[in-house]
Amino acid sequence: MKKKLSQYSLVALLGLSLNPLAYADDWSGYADVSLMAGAYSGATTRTAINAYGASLNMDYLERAGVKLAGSQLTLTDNGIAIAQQSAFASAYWNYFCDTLGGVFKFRLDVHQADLSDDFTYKDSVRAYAPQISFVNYQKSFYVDLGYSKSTYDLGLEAKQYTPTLGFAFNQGADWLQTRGYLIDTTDTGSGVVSSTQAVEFKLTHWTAPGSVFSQYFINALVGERILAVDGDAAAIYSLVDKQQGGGSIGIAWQSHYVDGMLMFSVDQYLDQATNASYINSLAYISISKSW
Amino acid sequence: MKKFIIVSLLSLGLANTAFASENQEAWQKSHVLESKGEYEKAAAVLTPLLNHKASEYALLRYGWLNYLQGNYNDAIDSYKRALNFNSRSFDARLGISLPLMAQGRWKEASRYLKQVVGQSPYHYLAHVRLMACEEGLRQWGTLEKHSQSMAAYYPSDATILVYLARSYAWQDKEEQAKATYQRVLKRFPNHIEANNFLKGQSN
Repeated sequence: MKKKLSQYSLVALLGLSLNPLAYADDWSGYADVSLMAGAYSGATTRTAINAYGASLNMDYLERAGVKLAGSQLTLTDNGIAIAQQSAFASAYWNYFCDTLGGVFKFRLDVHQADLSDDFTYKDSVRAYAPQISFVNYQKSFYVDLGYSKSTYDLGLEAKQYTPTLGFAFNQGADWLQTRGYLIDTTDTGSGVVSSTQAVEFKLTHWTAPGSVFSQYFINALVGERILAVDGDAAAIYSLVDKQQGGGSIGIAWQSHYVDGMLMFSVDQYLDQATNASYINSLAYISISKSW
Repeated sequence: MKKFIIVSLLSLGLANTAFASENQEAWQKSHVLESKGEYEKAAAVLTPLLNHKASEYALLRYGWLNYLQGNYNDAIDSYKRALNFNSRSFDARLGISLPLMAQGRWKEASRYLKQVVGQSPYHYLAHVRLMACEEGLRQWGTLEKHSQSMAAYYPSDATILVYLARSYAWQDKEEQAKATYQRVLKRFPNHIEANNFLKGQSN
């Protein structure tokens, strides 16, 4: 029996040692690095913003996956540089539902950002953001419902609801997505609650074979939002200024070696301290490699 | 006692004959119903056979009939059970690739198809479905190499050339795509995609 067991163990060990090779293809992923630079016009105190970041995505077949990302942002305000270090972790699991003919994705994001300047200012924020989404097998219809709760050390709390609807048209070459941002912000010291609502529209066009760029996109935000959490961008907008609409355009390309994306955006903000509006223009580029 | 044994053996034999005849009837009924497009009923008549000792074929057929109904998860389960019966089965691997592809699970379907190719390196159907997965994953470089290599083994085949032409087109290799679509038209003169591509090129 002992001999049999040891033989069995040897076979099992050999099997285990071979399995990772046999199933190495089951894992796929991509990594990206990104750079962002921006300027302000009409702002009384803010002068520049720039950031860099990286992310790593790993998927197990089409069943589940994880994403880790980190970024470093610097905002110059009144001549003082405020730094924000952000970390982001996300995990998802897919459920294939034949009754509805599509895939339910259950996803949980966790954001952590630490803000500080060279003097005494220090704040940090954590956000937990679960999301459930559904996309049909033909990938022509998408709906999701997201929620997030952000807690700031310096006494702010934001609860965000993001219902989203997307659909393909023009034989799948175009995609229109609308996402509502309903955010309730609470000053935990005074108990004052304020609400903002915004709708974001994203129109993406996938090009035909042989085009230089693989996609073009244009995004617009209508309404107001503050302290938003954006799972798609793995970003948390910790600035207490109110965003009052904006837009962006971008292109994406694919090459044999790396893929890339370039985006320009213009957003209007309201500085709540001075009650003055200003414009923030940004350029963003990311390069990714998949395997 | 002897009589009892003979009677028992006789009744067992009769029961087996009855079961075999019922089976035969079930198979026949299932095929007739499938030909009429009544896939649910065609699968239902096989249900009593699924837990039988020799149910491998019933499981494969049950998987297929569920795939035709769009019950992809049931089809996948059935093919997995068939694989447990016979781990060498190409049929179960090729079978499971269909519902997985229908659900857009290209990587998972590829896993089973690569297992077939691993055992039978030039298996036509496994290669063609693997190309469909590579297309689903938009792996144009991989699809180009794969279809180019298989076109050498199956030089008269139009399907492989269509995948090769698509891979060229998506990689902006227009001249090669054009030449390959022209090769498709030699084999399949009314091929819509090839004609449309070449028409688009001449405009």
